[in-house]
Amino acid sequence: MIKLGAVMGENFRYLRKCFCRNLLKGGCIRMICFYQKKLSRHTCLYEPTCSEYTKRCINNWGVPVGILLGMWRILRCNPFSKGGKDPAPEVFWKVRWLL
Amino acid sequence: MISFPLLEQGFYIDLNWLGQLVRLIIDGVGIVGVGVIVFALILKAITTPFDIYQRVKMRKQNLIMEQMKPELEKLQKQYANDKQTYSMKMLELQKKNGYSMLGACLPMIISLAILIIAIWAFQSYAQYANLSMYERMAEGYNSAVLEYAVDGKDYHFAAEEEENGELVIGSGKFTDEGADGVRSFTEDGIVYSLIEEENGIKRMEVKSLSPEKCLFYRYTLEPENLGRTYYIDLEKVKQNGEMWEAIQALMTQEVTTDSGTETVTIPVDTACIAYFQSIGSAASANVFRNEKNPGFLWVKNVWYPDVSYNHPIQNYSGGMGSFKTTFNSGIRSPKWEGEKSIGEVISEANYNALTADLSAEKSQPNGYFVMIIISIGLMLLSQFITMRSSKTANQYQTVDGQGAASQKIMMVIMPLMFAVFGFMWSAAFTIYNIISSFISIVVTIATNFVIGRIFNKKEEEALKERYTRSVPWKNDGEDKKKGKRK
Repeated sequence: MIKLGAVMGENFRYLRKCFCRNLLKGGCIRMICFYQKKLSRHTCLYEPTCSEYTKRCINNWGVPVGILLGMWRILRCNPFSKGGKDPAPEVFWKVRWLL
Repeated sequence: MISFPLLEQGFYIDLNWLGQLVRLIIDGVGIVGVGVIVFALILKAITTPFDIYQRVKMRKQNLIMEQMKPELEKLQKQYANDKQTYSMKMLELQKKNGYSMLGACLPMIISLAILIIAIWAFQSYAQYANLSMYERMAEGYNSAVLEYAVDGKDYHFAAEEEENGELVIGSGKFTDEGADGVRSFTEDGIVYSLIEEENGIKRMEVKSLSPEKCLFYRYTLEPENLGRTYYIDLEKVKQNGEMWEAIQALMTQEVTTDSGTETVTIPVDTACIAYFQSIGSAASANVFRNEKNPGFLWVKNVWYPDVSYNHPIQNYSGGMGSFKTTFNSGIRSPKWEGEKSIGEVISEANYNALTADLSAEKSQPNGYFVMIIISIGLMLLSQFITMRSSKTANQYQTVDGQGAASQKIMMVIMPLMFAVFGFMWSAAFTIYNIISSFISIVVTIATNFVIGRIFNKKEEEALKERYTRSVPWKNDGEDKKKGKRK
């Protein structure tokens, strides 16, 4: 008999990295997509819209940092701000720079 | 010896700061329902400026879109398969007309956050209110019964206080032995006597000499298990004529069986306890009905949902059982320190004694669904008005007219959500919903009216300008006219 606990203990980090994290990220992005398709009014002061920005941030930075960045963006997207172009920040060492 | 059980008291629940704010408002106002309305108005005062901003933007956008309708229809046909180009062209068109009609995201999020805050506050305060209602009722019950009891002193037994074989407690000295070998002393008309029970525990009996005080108590002298136990003094009860008659009336009860009515005699002990319990439960019913009535309009208890299958006073499993499961950690008592929950401490018999006079409230419906129906109706109305006032804008926001569809989805989802909340949670939250949707309807109609007027004026001026430009000599004439008037 193989004890489930022992197997889980050995492989827990691997599982978390390869399975849970991706699932969480995918789930968040899927939820945002659902919002964009069904509930959104498609108006935002900035380009890209707040939801699109949050989606890209989650994709680039992971779920916790991405949600924080998105919240900061929503706070900036208030009636007193000017708006304009504000692309999602990239991770410097993950982007394949041509030059 | 007839021991009489009192109700446990001294529970308290940790309120978060929002719940404390709600308590402050409700205590300040006095009437529970009005306090809830005031809290709702305060929350709405925070969101209303954002709401007005959003609605003004939406209305303006809608009016401008209506103006550009033919051009937008052309664009929609042209770029039917290209969302991005369409939105870019649309923005260009809007810029040409001199408006940038993009709304901010924060107002939408803020209204959602305020809703969550309201839910949080009402939920936490509802728990507190139900527990404090029990506390108040138990307080009334105990104090009503203890009117017949002695107010004696409690002493602790310690070895140092035993001098020369004499137990010295406070100022009194248990020196003189009576005829039956019980050591006692008298102070202020109260007899303190030392009693050793069969299991070896030393107790102090405190009895009054006055004939009205027919409840006496025994107090444990060992510091490990302190506590009072109250007993009914049957001889004094017999001396008191009215009380004894009432108890005798309780002793002979008529019970209807299949073969007819039978008179059943109940033992004196049970009848005595029932008599004093009836005094206590009358006091607790008075507390619920008059002093701290949690009702508002037709809802009997605001902290339960406005539904007919829920009762303003729950039975034991509903009332104390909810404390047993949901707030084991939240409720604390000075005596048990969280080891036991309130449901374990209060027995079913005690709870039934507390709510004996409130049997009408136990079977009464708490509400008649009216508040929930009103809240859903107002919510639907406000959604409908919002949809009507921004119909064109939603239709031409994207190529496929997704905006209008999303509005329809919102119109279904929001009332459904609030219906579920209304059935699950307290009527106080439903009152908040009614107030909030009513205010949003008023705001929408007012902004639509004002924006429509301003827009019409601007349109008129634009028309006038075009007219005067095409016929230049008309302009001079008008100016002259104005000059004459001046």
